[in-house]
Amino acid sequence: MAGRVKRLLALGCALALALGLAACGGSETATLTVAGSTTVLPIAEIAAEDFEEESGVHVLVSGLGSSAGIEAVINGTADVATSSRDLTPDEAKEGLSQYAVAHDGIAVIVNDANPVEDISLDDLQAIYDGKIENWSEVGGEDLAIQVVNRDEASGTREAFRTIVMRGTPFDRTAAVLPGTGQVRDVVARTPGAIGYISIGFVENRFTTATVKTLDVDGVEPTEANLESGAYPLSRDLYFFTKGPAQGEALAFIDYVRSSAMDATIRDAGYVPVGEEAAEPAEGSGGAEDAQASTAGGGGDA
Amino acid sequence: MPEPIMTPPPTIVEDINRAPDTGRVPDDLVKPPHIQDITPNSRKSYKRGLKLVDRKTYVKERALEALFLACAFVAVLAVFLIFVFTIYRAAPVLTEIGFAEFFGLDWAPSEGSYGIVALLLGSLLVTAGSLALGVPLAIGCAVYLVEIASKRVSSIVSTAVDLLAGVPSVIFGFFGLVMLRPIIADLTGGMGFGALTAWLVLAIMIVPTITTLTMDALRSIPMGVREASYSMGATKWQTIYKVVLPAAKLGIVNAVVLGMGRAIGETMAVLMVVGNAPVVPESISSPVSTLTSQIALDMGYSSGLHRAALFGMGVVLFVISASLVGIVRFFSRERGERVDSREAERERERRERLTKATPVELATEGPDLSATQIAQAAEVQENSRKRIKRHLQNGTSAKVSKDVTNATMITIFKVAGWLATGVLALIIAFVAWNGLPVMSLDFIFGWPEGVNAEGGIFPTIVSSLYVTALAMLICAPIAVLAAVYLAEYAKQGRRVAFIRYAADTLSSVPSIVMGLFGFALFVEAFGFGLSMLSAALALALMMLPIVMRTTEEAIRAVPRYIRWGAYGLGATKWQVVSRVVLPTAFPRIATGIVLAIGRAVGETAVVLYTMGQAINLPVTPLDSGRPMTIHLYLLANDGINMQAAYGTALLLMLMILAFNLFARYLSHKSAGKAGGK
Repeated sequence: MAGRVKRLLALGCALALALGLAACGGSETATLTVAGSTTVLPIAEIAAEDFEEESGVHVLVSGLGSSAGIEAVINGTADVATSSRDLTPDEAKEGLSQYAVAHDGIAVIVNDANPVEDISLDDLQAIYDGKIENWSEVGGEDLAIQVVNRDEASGTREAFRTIVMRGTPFDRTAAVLPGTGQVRDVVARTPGAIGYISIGFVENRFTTATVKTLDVDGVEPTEANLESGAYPLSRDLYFFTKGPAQGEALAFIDYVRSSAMDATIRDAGYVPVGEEAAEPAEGSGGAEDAQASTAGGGGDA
Repeated sequence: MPEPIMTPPPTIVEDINRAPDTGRVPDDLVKPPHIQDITPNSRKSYKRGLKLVDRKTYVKERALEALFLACAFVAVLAVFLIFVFTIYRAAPVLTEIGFAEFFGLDWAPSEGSYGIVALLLGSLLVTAGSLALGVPLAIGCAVYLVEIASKRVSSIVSTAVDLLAGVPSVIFGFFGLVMLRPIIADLTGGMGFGALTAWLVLAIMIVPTITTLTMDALRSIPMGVREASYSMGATKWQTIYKVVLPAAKLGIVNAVVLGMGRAIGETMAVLMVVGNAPVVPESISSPVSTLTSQIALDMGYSSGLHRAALFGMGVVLFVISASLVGIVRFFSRERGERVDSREAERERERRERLTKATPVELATEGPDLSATQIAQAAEVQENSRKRIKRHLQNGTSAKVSKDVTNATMITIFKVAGWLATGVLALIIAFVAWNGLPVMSLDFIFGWPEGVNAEGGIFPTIVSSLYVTALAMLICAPIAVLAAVYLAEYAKQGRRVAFIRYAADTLSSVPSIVMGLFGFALFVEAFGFGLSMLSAALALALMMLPIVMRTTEEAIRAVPRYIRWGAYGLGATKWQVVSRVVLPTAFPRIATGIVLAIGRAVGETAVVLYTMGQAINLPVTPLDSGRPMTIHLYLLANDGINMQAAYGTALLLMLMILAFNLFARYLSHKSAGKAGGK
């Protein structure tokens, strides 16, 4: 019996020692730290894995939100920040370089049974700030509108806020759901619901429930309209580095923007930045074209 | 071994048996008699000149005692640190937001308003409703188990209740989100997010807590009270609600208060079903938000004042849960003066089960009763069940209505008991039915692929086990040594009461607050980053009071005559503890640790912001990773690849059920062994 206690103690000591040793020998040769947006996280993770296989550079990816990632790059704890939003004026003063990695369109979705086909940006704003509460006010049936919003960590919400709300606060009685699929599912089940999700998730091979997209200001949310810029609800996903990207960071960003990542980016529900960005990114001059701007002036935010 | 073996002179033995001459409450009322002051090597006896051991041994003994005391104070230190650190991080609430605004109605961080009252009201609404549903069910269930059910049925149902207590909150949330929400949506015509759904989910979650504690309270009511009631012609129902329940009132109130603590601190399950609208809701089926869920939702991206406000909410939660513990302790202290206090009773039962103590031995606890009287009383108690049964069979009742009421109420209790079992079965069936088709070796040992985490979940399983093992490695030694101090070394008094209060408070800290603290201290201040180590340290603090409590109970259950034997052979205190007490208590300590492992594997809110969320196979303790619970949470939230979510839920559930059943097996085995002696 006493032996058992002793053996257990010995085992514990051995384990602690092993863990301690492992901690000491943990540092790798070339490591790139990528932190930021949870929206970009899946893409960044897959890119990191493939990139590591190709170049041998160890890429550590973590997702705690765009703000945390940008802060990490500013104070030097991370090499690359991933973000689903532009820089705030404060952040823009820190001399970060900006690289667009994907386009994203936001589709406004309603229940299949809803007869409404088209909505104006102004009506959308009125619905989301709680001024319009019934579908009959926007040409539908006499049915209460049930507003579904995303959580504040969501880049989609941020983009929706910038494009649609334009300074008006969101109606706070709306349900706040923390995931694209949930919004889709709830809207598919609830007759009076309205929500917004990335265009790539409207049609989804994981689910059979369907939702209907609304045209916004008469423009259908298609990839073509997105790339042409006709569809108003669109945004870009970015990578940021402190100063122009160099060495491994640049190689990684180039990899994410290359055609090798197109399928993954589409899988995640976004539209790749396309050949016009991928081609110049082959050379090291990719950072200097229009896609990358050193946000020193800070006037664009 | 080097220690000189000496026979203690008879004076010491006399000294032990002499009743304490102080005016205080005799020790055996607050502390079981078998650990009375048999301290031949204590400083007191050393100073008195009773040098039983040489100086070297004495120093060693004192050093060990100091070490144990230090371990015991880890709990105190932890509570202190949590409080101070959370307040420190929340300081801008006072300096920049202002108290008045912090207790305002508007929660809109993006617009600079940080009023938490709507969230506080949400927390209270959700808690109140879940109590209204859960308390009657839990009390009914407990009454059924203790007063009505046969032994066999009772063991089935109480196993179900225990297992239900082990189901991780993220699975309850998942169940609520996928199963209950659509049903509520159809019934109310809304979206199904809101207080109503949270009530149902939380009610299920607090039932095990309240049931177990109520059962303890009911068991502590002496059988004679019931017999007196039956002999007056009362039916079972009348006995239950006129005699037993009022007698157990305080214990039940404590159970409810602790259940309330659990409900108000619950994070993940609530987060997934309330709809997260930070407003005073229009109806019980419209979205609402709570303090805990808002912290979990906002923590990831918040910064500056917003983050300070979240820490401020953490302080509010901490204060609420700590005062609930204070209330319970206040009530318990009043009861503590009485011999038949819950704890003493539970203790007596445990030892009885373990040691098959003779009535004479039990007599030491009772006041002024001769051994024969006690023996009679014990015999009476043993037979009382049979006798009551006989009375009930033979007794003819005058009024029909009395019998009808009785039958109806008994049925209601029965339903409550089986409802709890049914809910467990339903949740297991729901997870298994949806998860089994996904299950394959590829799923368990494969890596997630693509942006929607198809493929396997191997790295998340490794992360879960890694962090749990690391947490246990940190927590178990400290907890066991702390328990050794409390059970073997400590004199009952203010210091021990203080340590216990700290441990109780620590165990009541809502898991999201522990997560906040872990983030602030381990991730940021200590610079461990989002890592296994940070998460394990936070988890270890969470598990510390649980392991401490079970270990202390295990040590106390070791019969004192075994210790006497060892002391009689001249063993020092540490020899007795290390060679006799700990090995004897080992199976029960192991049971407690295994149960704690089960809890740690299922913990979500603590690790959410201490471990990182990236899928990674952790190698060193400073690596980050994503445990199964968070994987499940993120998959369920995304709501895209639900297949993987079901699969993860099933594996998680199986692991936790396995740990819990293993713990039950261990405790049964040890009980059986003790009984066999």
